[in-house]
Amino acid sequence: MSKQKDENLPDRRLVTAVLNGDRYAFGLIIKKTEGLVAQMTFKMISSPGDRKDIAQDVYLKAFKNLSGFKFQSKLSTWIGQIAYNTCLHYLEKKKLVLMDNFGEDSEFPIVHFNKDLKNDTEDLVFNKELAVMLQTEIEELKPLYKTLISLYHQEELSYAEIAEITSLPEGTVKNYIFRARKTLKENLLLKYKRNEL
Amino acid sequence: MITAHLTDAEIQLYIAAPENINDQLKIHVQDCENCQANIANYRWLFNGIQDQAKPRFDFDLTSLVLERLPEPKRAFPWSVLFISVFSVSFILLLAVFFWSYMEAVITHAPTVLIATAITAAVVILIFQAVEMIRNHQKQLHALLNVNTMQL
Repeated sequence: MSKQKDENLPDRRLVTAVLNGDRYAFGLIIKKTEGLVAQMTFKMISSPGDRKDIAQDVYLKAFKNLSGFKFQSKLSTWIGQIAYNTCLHYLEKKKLVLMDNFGEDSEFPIVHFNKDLKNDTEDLVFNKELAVMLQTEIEELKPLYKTLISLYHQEELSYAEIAEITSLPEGTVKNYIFRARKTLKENLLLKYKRNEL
Repeated sequence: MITAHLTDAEIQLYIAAPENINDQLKIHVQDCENCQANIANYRWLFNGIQDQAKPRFDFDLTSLVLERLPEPKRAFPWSVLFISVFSVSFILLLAVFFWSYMEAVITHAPTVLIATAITAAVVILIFQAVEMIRNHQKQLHALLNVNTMQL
């Protein structure tokens, strides 16, 4: 069986194989879900050394509790829940803040990100600069907002799946993602305007 | 026609789920440069977030985790224990029940016959022991030569 085919095995077969003592199957589960776990640990934990320990802890917990997984959700969602709770526990232990309240809404002037450019090279450089600015702004968001934004836009999870992972009401998830995007846009516009001056 | 500009929530919805935006707002957008610019900015933001490089661990997580997995606990062999206890009890019961007959056979049988029976039993046991050792060595050899999983 090819490796690609192995990685597409359905959750139920993989879980049954692991419960029957097949460690190779657990390796496949890790391969299938480590992108999601990486996304969450990178967004919630700033120390690279701690990320390594946390990622391992997530899978050791998953292995230990796998017999309790009842297929009521996708396996990746279940592992995402473990990852989220493990990161949350770490932040609580370190007394770090997952989120603050944003200030009141304020009006910002409308500026075009896509200004008129003379040629393709200039366009490319401009877009690269903006992408770097965006990356910096994302990094400056509170861990919860970074996580939610990444899960929605990069991992392409639905609001319902994110709500299941974070145990937040779906409406709250929608609201936080909306506010995170708005903050990103406003901060980018401010920075962009500052650079223009 | 609606004259008020779209709110941030409406603009985000306009990009993420345009089917949920009412026609009046769509008409407003067509004629409003301010809203069009706002939509363009948000659209750029949506694409920008999506295009950001996904984080990756710079270590082999699979190997690290598999090394730390606890050894699987073998379930206690209740069925084997039950069969063994039942078999031993059954033989003991038979021995107790038929002891007088067995005693008579042993005392009245010639010594040569008893010695032959004991020798035969010992030889069979030795053969079985040799066979068990051979099987064990064969399995050990197979285990040592088996390809370990490669991920």
